[in-house]
Amino acid sequence: MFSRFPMTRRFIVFLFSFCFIAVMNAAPRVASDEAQAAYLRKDYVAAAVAYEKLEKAEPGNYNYNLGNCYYRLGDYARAILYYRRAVRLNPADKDAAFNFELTQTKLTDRFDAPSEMFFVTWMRSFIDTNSASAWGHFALAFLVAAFALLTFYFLGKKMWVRKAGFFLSLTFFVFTFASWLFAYLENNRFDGVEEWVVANEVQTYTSPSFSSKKGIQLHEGTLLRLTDETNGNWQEVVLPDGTSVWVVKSDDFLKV
Amino acid sequence: MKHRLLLFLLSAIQIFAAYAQTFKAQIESRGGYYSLIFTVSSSSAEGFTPPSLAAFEVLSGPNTSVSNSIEVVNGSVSRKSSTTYTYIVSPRKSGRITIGPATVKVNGRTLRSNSVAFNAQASTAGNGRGQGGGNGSAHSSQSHADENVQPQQAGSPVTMRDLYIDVVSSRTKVREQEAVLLTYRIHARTGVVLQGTSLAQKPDFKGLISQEIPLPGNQIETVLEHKNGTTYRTGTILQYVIFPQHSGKLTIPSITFGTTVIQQERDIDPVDAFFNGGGTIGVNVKRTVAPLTLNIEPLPQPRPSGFSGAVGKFTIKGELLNKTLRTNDAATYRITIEGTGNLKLITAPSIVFPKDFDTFDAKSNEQSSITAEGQKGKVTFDYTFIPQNVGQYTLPAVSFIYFDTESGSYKTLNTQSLKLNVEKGNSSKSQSDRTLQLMRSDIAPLHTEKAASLLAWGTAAYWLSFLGIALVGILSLSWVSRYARNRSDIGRERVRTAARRALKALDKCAKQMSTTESADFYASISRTLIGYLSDTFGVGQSELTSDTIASLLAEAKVDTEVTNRLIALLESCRYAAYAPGASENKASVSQEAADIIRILDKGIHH
Repeated sequence: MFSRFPMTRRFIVFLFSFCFIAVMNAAPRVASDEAQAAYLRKDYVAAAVAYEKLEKAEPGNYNYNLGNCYYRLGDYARAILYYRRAVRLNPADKDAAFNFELTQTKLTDRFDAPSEMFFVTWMRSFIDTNSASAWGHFALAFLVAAFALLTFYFLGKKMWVRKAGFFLSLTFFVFTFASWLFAYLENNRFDGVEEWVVANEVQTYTSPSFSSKKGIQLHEGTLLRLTDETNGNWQEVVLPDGTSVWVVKSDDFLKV
Repeated sequence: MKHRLLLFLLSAIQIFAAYAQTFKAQIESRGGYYSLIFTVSSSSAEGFTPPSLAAFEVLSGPNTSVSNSIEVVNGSVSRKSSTTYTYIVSPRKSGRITIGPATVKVNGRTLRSNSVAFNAQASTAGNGRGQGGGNGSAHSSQSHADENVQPQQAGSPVTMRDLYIDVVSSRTKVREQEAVLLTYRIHARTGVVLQGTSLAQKPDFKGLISQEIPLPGNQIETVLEHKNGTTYRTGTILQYVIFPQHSGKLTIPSITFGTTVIQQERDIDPVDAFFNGGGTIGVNVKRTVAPLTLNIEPLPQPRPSGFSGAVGKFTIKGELLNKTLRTNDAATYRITIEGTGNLKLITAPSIVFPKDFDTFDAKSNEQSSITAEGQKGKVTFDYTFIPQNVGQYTLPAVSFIYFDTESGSYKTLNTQSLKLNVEKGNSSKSQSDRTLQLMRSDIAPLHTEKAASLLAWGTAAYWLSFLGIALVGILSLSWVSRYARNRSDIGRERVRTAARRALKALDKCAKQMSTTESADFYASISRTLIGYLSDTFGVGQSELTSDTIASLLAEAKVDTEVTNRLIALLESCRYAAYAPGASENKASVSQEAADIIRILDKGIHH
């Protein structure tokens, strides 16, 4: 019976899978309501515990809310950690970026970001206006538009219509690939970039040895970028101002 | 059958063993009190009669325990049984005490234990208000439901002599804001077994700030204590540190505790006792602690101006958290007050920053634990400021005035004054404004909606839809282009063959000119010419008026003379049918039409 109506069958399968997904989402929804309720009655410890559990079940969805819980608890190192995870997953998450920046003003260590080419900064902030998914959707829309405009080139009777169709279509193809490129860049912004957040006061050194000259003391919440340089238990890290120092691997760092 | 044999064998061994019974008495010091243990090497002892224990106060006992064990050594089985009777006793006075023999019956035989003599050390903590137990009191970490204690019999009343709760203040002379430790202690006469104690109602402390000290562990540490000839187990059940907020008489309100006393039920069916937990019942008892009045002395007057309100013992430290100061860059000056006292109530010291600094209210952060002397730990005050101009500045010393409880006087502590060297910063005014804005804002609220992930970048669904769109686009465009090419091919063919077809038509007209009517002849010449123009320029025949023809030909760069000839010819064709001598002109008109078409065909490039 179904084989005679392949469209009907496909629709029913689609409907069932949709319901299944809806049911799958229902359980965490209730749990997330509980976590939210705990947060709203200012029981931030309970909220953090609940969100940790949710984050374990659906990785990547609750980093931002966890950041908020830890911020309220005054644990700025963990707040930075979770906001950073949220930003790394979606650099266009404006709330996460804002809270990350706000939390940084609460930290003991303050660094000036290394100066960058104006164009690089501008380009990055432009790409960050949309998430990778949004750029991906733009690419799809531009592709449709490019093909649609190409029909004007083929079917246009007047020369200017055909010319306009051709060049606009070309422009939209360029847009498609630009969006595609932005989506790729946005999605892979932090590929291969390993970061640590300082959880406890840490001493830095200028080279991988305790006898070497001591660098500055790092305090909780400072974000470090790891380099490929390691030496036994020593790890070279880049401070937010762009300088490189050596630290000893320990539990004083939280892996982003 | 086998079982019966085994039973018989076992009882035979037992009977045999009864002839080798021993009954021993021994005493062990437990530090302040003693365990008196009578051991008989049989599990079927009965009729135990203790010796006189008049020299002691019996804290607990006799507690009977029976043990049976079977040992297999090198294949031979040996069976050991014993019954012990244990007393916990406290001697009434120090000196040599002799304990007489006890008797017990085993299988009808009466056994006598040895007598024990020892040098007793009487417990010294005893009479009067012993504070938490003196030298002789024994510390034990037992719960109230202590196994060694024989519970009271059911139905006996729990009097104030059996159980009471009191409160002790850590000091009698108290100053305003000075920490006082209140200790609530429960006193239960030995023999009164407690199961749990709880606050019936939280005390409502008015006119003071209070903080509860959490007790370690789940069980109450108890101490043996002698008071008015009775031995009590005494334990701390609640401790508060209070900070009186004003001078004068301060009354600590009475607090009511609820406790459960375990009592032994008499004459209980042993089976019932086995299933219902040993035949004990819990009796709920309420005890109210009498209110305590403290006399709070005021702090010495006059109070120095700038008094921070801190009472206790403190140290102060001021530090700049930033290594370098730069213009438009937020910096933090931190004052740390460390010590013991009313840390929570200290107000932020006022700091006079240089005039051209942007300054903010201090943010305090307190890290302390509660102790009997008050809060011990530190409180930090973070002052954020933003220098506006490059230059040398001085941050004056910050003074902190507190009342020192040790010396009973006000003391002033000063931080070092700081030389501030403000350098030119990289940050612009807008960046510092941004920092300021951030410092004054709160974080964005929780995200309650999950981010939509329909056709998310990088997923298979995304790439499929991307390919789908590209495929549909290419297919439909290929169709469109084929359609367009067909259409243009037809048009081009018509243009290419227009002249040839027109000339062929004219030729046909010329051949039939003698037989056709004049009107038909001229009409077909005119149609051929218009058809030629229509095919060549791709314009509908109805649109081809003399004016359009003229402009089309002009656009195609055709000589105006030729254009005029064509228009004249078309005109003459229209009227020639009605003109005189129409039939004679047929040949010349046909010739003229063919000439014009040839000229146009050569002149118009496709």
